[in-house]
Amino acid sequence: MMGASMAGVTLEQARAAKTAALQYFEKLGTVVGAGVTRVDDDYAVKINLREPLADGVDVPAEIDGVPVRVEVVGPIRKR
Amino acid sequence: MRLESAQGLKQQLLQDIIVPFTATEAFAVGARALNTVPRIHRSIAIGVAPHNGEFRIAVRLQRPTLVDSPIVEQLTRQASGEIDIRLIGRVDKRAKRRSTARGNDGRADRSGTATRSAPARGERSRRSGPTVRAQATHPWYQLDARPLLIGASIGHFKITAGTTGAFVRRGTTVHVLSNNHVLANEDQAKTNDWILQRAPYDGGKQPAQRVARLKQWVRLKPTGTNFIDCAIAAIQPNLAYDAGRLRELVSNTDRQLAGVATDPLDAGDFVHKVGRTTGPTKGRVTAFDVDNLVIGYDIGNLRFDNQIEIEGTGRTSFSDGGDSGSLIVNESMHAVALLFAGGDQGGTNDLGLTYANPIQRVLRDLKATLLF
Repeated sequence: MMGASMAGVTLEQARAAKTAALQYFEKLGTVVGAGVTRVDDDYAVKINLREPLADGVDVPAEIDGVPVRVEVVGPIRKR
Repeated sequence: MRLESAQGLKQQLLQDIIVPFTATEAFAVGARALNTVPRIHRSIAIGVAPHNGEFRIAVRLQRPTLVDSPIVEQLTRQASGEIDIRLIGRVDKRAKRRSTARGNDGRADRSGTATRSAPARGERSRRSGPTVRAQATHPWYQLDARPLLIGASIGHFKITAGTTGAFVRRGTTVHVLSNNHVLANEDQAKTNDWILQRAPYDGGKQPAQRVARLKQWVRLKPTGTNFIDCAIAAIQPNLAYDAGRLRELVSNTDRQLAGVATDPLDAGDFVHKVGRTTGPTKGRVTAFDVDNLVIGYDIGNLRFDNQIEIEGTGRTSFSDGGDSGSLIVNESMHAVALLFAGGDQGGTNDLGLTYANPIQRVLRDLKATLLF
């Protein structure tokens, strides 16, 4: 799943990696969102977690060559 | 200061400032059934914290909108700056211990616990205070708006308050657009139920504030995947509305709605909205195509796919409870999304993230055309 970063990640590549990232992180914690974002002008995957991962759990820098950004966003409510 | 001094000052600040504040202030409340509104609202906790061998006042804010607020300035002044202010957001009885996670970019993730220094004089945000319903003067978006305006308070007669998103035409009838949970009370409402503007939580009564009747909504799915949270209500005949005016949207000046955007949003795009609670705010798209978005509703947690994520710019959050239904526009004033959810953590400023449905899907599924 993890691989070398690809130069100029396309939107399609990011969308494909999003699905893989969601499956990967669902095993580690409570995922409350998986989307596409940008890191340094490249497309990337964004994984939102409800709570921080357990101490010592490593977060992959990329999945299928697409950068992954992880953020703890807490609970989300209707507004 | 010494422990005894800190404890004494804490008690004084609690009695003189915080208790009167919590007794008179009306805090932002999400659009929800009126009979589910809590009697006690999240606001400010106060205590004593150790600091370099001495002690100082500890202030813990449970709402991002309080970060740059006048009451925090007042507490800071009274404590002569010997104060430790932190945003802790919502605290749940089942909250797990907040350990520090570290992202793959090496930055420490503060898990939504922001620490800030005392605000500098003059730094306060214009809209820093919480909902001001209990104050002598109310912002226009919490009052009756005649003609009806985008951004104004609205809601089903059994809910608290949400926001007038936009005006749409379905068939030959003009409707107001907002969320299902604002106009249809999470599918609990019936066709032709009355919609009030201003909403009940802002003092809207029947029959005085009746402005529309609920007509169409997309049902929320307790299981499976949702894509939109939307509803429309037919405006009463002869009731005036201004479909194009985005009042005070940018730098306190009006803008004109330009239609529906044709290009999809990208991360980094700037957007604007005006909503019932936080008024006009500017935001930045932080993610799109967001799937598996889990949102807490009164009927339980619901999953949404293909959503847009937005953070507030500067020292403000993009939205708060009661802003649901706000129309979100891009910098060319084209409609891009319908605001419906948010949290208190995350984003560059750690003041929370907002979520919205792509407006094209909303209009398509409601078989409605945006008026502007």
